[in-house]
Amino acid sequence: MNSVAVKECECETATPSKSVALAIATVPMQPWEQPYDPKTALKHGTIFPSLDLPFYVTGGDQP
Amino acid sequence: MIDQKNLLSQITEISFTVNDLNLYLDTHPLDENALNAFKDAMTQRKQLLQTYAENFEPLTMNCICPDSNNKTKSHTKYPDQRHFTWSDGPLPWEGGVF
Repeated sequence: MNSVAVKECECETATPSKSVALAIATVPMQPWEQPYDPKTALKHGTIFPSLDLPFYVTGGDQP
Repeated sequence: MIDQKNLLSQITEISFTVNDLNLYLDTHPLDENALNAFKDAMTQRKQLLQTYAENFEPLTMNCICPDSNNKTKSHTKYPDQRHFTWSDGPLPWEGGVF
């Protein structure tokens, strides 16, 4: 009978330590703002100017 | 004469706006500004899809209407016959990607 090797889950080893610290994430609620026009939005990957962040060093136009 | 490529670009652009507004509204279902923007963008998208389907091939199943699709008779095997228009239009490997 064939047996499939099940890889041991490693999540239990990720307990808080010197290299793995606990954190509390806080994300503010996004407020409404005037969106880009559809052409600009597609080019920038978002309709919201506040989310138009420099994820890539190159590419895209400045608004 | 309608510029097919330009019309398709407009559909892509407004569709992206509809999509992003959709995401925003998932977390802000009562936001009046967003609801209005969604309504406007959706109306525009439907209008553009309809204009496209009337002049060329239907882009979604909702746009299939053998009696009003593809008035320019572009890329069809049945230019002067009432026919199912879903297969009208160039396929991606026939240059269907603009």
